[in-house]
Amino acid sequence: MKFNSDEIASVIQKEIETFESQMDVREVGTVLEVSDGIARVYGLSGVMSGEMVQFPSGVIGLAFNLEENSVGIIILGDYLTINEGDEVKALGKLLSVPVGDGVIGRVLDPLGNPLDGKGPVESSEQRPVEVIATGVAERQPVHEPLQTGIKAIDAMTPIGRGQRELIIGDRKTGKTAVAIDAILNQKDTGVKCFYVAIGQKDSSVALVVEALRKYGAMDYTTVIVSGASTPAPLQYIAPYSGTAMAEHFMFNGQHALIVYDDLSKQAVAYRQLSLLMRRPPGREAFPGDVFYCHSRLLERSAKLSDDLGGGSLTSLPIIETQEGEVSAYIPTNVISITDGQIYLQPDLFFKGVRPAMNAGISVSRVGGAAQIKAMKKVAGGLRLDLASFRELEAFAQLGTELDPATQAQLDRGYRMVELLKQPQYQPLSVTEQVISIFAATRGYMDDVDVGNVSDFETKLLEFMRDRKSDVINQLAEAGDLSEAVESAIRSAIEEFKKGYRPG
Amino acid sequence: MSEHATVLDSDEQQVGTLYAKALLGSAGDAVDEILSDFEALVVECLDQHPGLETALASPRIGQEEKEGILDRIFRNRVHPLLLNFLKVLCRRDRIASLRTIQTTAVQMREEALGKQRVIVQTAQALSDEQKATIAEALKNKLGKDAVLIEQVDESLLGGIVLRIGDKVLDGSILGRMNSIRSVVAEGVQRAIRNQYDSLMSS
Repeated sequence: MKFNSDEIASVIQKEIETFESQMDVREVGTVLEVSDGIARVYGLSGVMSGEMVQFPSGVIGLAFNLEENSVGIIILGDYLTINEGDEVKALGKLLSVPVGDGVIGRVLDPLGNPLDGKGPVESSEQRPVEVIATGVAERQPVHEPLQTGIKAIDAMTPIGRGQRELIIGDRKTGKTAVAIDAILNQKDTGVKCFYVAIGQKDSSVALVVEALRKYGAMDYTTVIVSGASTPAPLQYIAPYSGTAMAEHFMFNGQHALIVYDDLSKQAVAYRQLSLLMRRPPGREAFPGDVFYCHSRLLERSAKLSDDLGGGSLTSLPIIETQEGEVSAYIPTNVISITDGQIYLQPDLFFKGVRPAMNAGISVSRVGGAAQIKAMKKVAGGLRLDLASFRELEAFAQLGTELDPATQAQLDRGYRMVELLKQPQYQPLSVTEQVISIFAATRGYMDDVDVGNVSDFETKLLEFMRDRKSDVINQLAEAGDLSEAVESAIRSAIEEFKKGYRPG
Repeated sequence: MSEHATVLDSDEQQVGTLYAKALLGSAGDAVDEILSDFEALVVECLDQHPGLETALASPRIGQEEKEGILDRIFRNRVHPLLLNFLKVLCRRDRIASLRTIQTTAVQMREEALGKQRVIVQTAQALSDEQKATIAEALKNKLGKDAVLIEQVDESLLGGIVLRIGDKVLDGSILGRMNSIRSVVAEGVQRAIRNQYDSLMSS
């Protein structure tokens, strides 16, 4: 198979015939110096902050610092191809990325260039990377649930569409796993997902992409990668360009979910740029505007008003803490910006409680508005019960004699903890979650051995799916735990328990 | 870069602007005389005898001795004000910025006179007639007298490139060919994507 040279020639001829010759007018400057990811340029007197510039090698830069005698440029690409004295051209436009259905299912860099070897991104639309977030009048309160498929989260810290829920924890506590499960659970819901990997090992990103592909999530997911080896400017803009791609769907009345994994690394990249640009360092050497760097990003997640189509953008930023230090600069900043946080703890993780969520300090400020009624009913007091169980558990370890009521509360607590454990890549639908939490909180698991709780749950859900699908359908349709539904569930569980044999 | 040999050091540029402003301010009516003396001094004296500049900038030679040198060489050859200015530069340890001050002073003078420097790059040297046409056209466009600085660059192949301050007007054949190249490359790529089969000969 060879290219037909005549056909190619005719294509070229057509292009040349339609070529419109125009005088090329451009604003230029000269490179004074280049260092890690940044350049200082003399000239460009008319350039505006955030404007795109181009170096002779074709590399794109952004005007970052406008100083009296020079312009500080952040270089979005290979800065080793740039030399002192090179002519820099202002392009007179803002950095934009391709958006639309063409980006779905792709692995892209922060400029929208493909990294998956599947050819160019086919998209006719572009959207600026940095835009000001929608205002008060264009929004409405968050009220639709975004199911993550994780029992502990959907029951205790529910997330709504348009909410920003922080996932925070030390390294290796399953932060990414929670986010990936949330993406997997968006299958067949129409929610478009975006996973932005910032400063991560390329091997970890490859694993994530592989997992998404294996569970069929790449059909509705875009992965934006700026790995640990990419220059800091690209790591800095990656979340903004991911958000631009996601916003496109929000403004078209659809729903999107974006995961920033993780923002601590983005802050570090921003710190590097700012220090190289000689902006004054502040706390932990971060620049003074690192708060704004995150707030203007997360503010772009929104639930739009019905006039604007009612679309939404939900974000799950991830922050990695050092030795559980949540009072460090970046964690406190992002905690204060987001609408709640899911706090993952290493000691829980190693005890086998996975997801290792600490129910006591994890919150969702949107709360019950983001839950279906049935879930609200079964999971109402769960968070507080679990917190008081943790207290009792510590007390019980002293070996004191306990009265029967306390002992019962402890036993219930052990079973709840066991129930809230959930393996990775196995998100549950909300109806299944309601049924298993119902069974536990209403005492149907009190006589099951703690070690058999998960077996009981699996078999119960299997039984419900196979034999009582009418009950599941009834619950899914009503979305509420009416008396009829409740008694149907009760009798189904009782029927199941008669035949239940552990093992 | 030949026109602005020193312009790349922005700190020095700042110093140059400051001193040039002071020189022009104190020059009064003799400004053009002083500037031409200044240019001659740089081109004919300092460029020919690099040792002199080294001596003037050297910290090992005392101020009085430097002023003596300047007096002996330049008295009655340059405008007295310029001589004084050189002495001030010695005293302030700014001899290193001399050339920046000179080029900046010339530029500021041109600006004050309403002149605009325009670098004209062509593939072949321009005739006087062509220069006049270009100058006329620029005057109409800019509303200022254009000071043409010609550069011949054969790689342009043809046409003309004008550099007015930071703005570049590229009407060269080279520039046009570069844009045709990117347009054609894009078009062919698009064609390959869209009509892959018809482009292949089996």
